[in-house]
Amino acid sequence: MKKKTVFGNWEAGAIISNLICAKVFLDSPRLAVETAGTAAWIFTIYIAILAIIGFTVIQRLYKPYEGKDLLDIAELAAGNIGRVFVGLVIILCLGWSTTAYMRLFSENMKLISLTTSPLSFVELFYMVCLVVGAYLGMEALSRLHAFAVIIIAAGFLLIMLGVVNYIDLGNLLPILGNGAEKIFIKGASKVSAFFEILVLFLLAPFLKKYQNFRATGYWSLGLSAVFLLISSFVFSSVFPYPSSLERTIPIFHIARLIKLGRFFQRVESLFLFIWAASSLLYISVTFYFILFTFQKTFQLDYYKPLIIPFAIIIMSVSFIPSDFTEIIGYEVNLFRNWAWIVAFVMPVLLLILARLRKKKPAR
Amino acid sequence: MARGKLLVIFLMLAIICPVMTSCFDAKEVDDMGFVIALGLDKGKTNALRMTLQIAKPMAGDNGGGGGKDDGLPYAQFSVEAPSIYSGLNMINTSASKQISLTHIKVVVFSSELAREGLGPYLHAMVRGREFRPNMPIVVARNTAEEYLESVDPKLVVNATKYYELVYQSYKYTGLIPKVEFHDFYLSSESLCKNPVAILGNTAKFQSVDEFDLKDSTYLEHGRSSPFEGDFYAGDIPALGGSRSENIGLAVFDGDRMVGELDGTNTTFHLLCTGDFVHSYWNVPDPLSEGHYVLLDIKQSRKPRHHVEIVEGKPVIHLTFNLEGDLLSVQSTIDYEAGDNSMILESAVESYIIDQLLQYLDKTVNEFQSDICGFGTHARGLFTTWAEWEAYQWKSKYKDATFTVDVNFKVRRPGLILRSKSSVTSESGSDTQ
Repeated sequence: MKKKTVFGNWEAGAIISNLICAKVFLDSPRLAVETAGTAAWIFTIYIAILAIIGFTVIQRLYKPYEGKDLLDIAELAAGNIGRVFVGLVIILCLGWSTTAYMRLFSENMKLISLTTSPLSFVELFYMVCLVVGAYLGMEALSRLHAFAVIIIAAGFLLIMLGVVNYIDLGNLLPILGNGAEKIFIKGASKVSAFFEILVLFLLAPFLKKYQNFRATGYWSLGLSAVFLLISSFVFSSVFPYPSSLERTIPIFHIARLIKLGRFFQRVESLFLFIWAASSLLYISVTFYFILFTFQKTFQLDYYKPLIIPFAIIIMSVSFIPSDFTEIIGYEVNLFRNWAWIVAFVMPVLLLILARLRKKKPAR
Repeated sequence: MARGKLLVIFLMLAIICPVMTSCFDAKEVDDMGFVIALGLDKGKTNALRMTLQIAKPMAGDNGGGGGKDDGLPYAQFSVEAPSIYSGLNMINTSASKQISLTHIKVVVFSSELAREGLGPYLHAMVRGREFRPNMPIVVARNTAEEYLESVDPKLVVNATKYYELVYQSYKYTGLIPKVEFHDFYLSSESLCKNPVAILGNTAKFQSVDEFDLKDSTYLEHGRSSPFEGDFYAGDIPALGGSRSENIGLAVFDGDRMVGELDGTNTTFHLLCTGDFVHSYWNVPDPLSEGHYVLLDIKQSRKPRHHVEIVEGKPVIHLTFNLEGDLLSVQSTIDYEAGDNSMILESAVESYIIDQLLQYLDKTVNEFQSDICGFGTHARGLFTTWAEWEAYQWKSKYKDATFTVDVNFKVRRPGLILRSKSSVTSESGSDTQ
């Protein structure tokens, strides 16, 4: 008999927080600066508030559907067609972010460490990890997150503390940066930075109780908001605008500055370690949920036979963009502008539809 | 089932093992030639003349191991090339080891190159991952090649340690600026600040007989004889140690060098930026003409900058909080306590205000370059970046006016609590 996997709030919170915060090591601080200029930290607070409001609406609507994931709700709302449609949308979005991140992480790794290694060789690291992660399953991944995320968070905070002497609060002025309109109106779509909250709606069966689902959502959004805020605050106060727009990997540039006397230098090696850990966990989880969604969408008995073919597809698709800037364009300009519809609007619509469908027979 | 799991584990290990060897990027430390200093001059046959000092691995350890030929812990190479990286390629054809810039400790530009603009080289350094953001930037008044040749560390056997220590001397002399490549680059691109670099040169005097004060700036400072900071690099009447001198700073406007400041003005620059730590100062004795009071002055608090814009022009208010310990009172007047102490404190305040205003006047009228970064404080007066950009601080800086307030307090009298004059056989007093 198949054992049902259940895990606690901490494990689920760690998974969601790492999914949302992994982009801190890629481009999220620069993205905030691109949108808001010197007001990057205000912008980060703003999109975090929007995400929390969005989640509040969703969790209220979720109350009657304890232990059900988004695919179950889609089925309740629109039957098999609804389940298949929502499943394909989720697979597309998670597939997009997995392939984009796999390529971005590998390209960045090539930029700063494995400069002469071929890209395919670097991506092999990631491929091995996501295959192993998917084979071991959600329980192993959640247990791994439970302690790995603490190490990643501690390493990240150490780096942020290490550059305290480079922080110049004057770099945060003018206070409104690129202007209120760009921050609060045009910037609203960047709430997509919290797109990965979608995974929480797939994790619901693993959390069982509605209270766990709600608590995990708020905790992970709150923690992620704090880490995103710290990264954008430190980045924009260390690197003045507009020079900050030049930096390919913001946190790496910050880590390179750390020099504690003649002995402690080159702390970026710590960055490499936590960054690799965070990215491997990110890709492993999103890949697992691609398989999970595919299995549930098409009501398959097993997902393991899908692992190798899907891993090969992910790796192959990640090679399609011709260069680094193209993949950034796909991830930042396209995905991060529209992903909020899938993460926030789609669940709300499905939940409302499911409620309406539930009421109909009663009448 | 168990056999299947074993097979999966075996396959995973088989894939991971070759990956872990990092075969593509594997490098033996002993096979690399680590550059510790890079000099860039204008070339005769090409755009650049590059001078590299490459560490001899065994030389720095015990002081006697390396440097068989010239006793130096490094080997120096020069090449003329169109760019930094092509120069590296060219040197790699003759050097026995692959050249690496990952341990570079200083970059020296010639003033000729700096006056033409350093933009192309700075961008190459930011983009290249091998250049460290903490390395100091030096502008050599003659050529970078000559400057690097004149470096001959006498007190340390490890050349990298020499470079790490020598550019930290701003902490206890106040005669060179605090400069890191990171700040230099950001300031060169900034709308509110201009960069500075350490001013270096080869000492011009070969023997004590050649000493002169022809190029000293003491007259400019209104003094009858020079203080320790009244020189530009290369002009100090001194012998011994390394022949490379570092004193003063190179003033930039964007990426282009526009002038030089001597050691004394560099001290006031450090005061204005808040990077001043401590140094020994000579202050004219307020009660005895021709004598000096020697003080060890430090910053008790970072300076306060307040910028206003009055009728479109910047008005900058500066407040400094300094404290000092008495080191020597040549006149033996009792400055340790009472009214005399207050007289000394107010004399020091007036002296510093006077010198500060001279320094600020130079930045406004001579260089028209905000090297202290007052613009970073002016940004707070604007709500959005577009408004700030439209104000064009850098072009407005030439109209800036200043008010300076200095609070100075003598904290400790040293190991003498009360000064007394020495007694001669004729019962007269003598100065020390």
